[in-house]
Amino acid sequence: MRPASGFHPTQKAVEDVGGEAAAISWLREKKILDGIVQQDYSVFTRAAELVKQGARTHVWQFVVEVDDETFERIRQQALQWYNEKMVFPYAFPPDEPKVDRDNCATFPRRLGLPIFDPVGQIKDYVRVLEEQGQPWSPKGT
Amino acid sequence: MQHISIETDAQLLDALETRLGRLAAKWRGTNDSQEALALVRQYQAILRCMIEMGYRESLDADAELPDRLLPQEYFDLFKSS
Repeated sequence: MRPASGFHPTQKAVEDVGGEAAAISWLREKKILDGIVQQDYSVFTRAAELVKQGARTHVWQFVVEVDDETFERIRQQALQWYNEKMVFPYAFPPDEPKVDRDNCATFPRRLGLPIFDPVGQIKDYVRVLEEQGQPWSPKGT
Repeated sequence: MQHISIETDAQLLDALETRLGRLAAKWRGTNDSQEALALVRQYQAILRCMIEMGYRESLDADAELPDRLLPQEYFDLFKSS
């Protein structure tokens, strides 16, 4: 698995409800989609390219220090879920976190990683990244 | 409670945008129809106020209520002329 993974709805789940725009509408209606751990390295590198072209986007990273044993445990768990295409419920966050659903911002809790905000709202999440994170760029660039 | 300092319209709009996101999350979290109705009213009032103040952006996906609950003024922002 490349060094940038993410949690988001499966392609099938998105297609089943009618495509990307329909999936957004679906989630805004408090509904749930199947989500899996996916390889997002290409997404991040594309976003980093767009930054250089002046697009209104930024790619941030937030480093979490863990010991080697913890790192390996997290890596193995994420890899297992990725390889098995383990399905977890994906939903837009309600104001009180629910243990049976996640979005991309809250999913790291399942791996024992700290999350910036238990709710996981995009604007709050990005604000923390802007304040405490560092710019990210693809390896070797 | 967190206090914020608002000195410019841009800061106010940013704070209101944050508020909209919280209201949308609260709407998703409630099963009380009366509370939901009150949240929608507050949400629409704030969004209309933002548009009057010059807000022309698209909200984050998780800060939007379903289309049927968004004010027409918001959709009008994105109509092609």
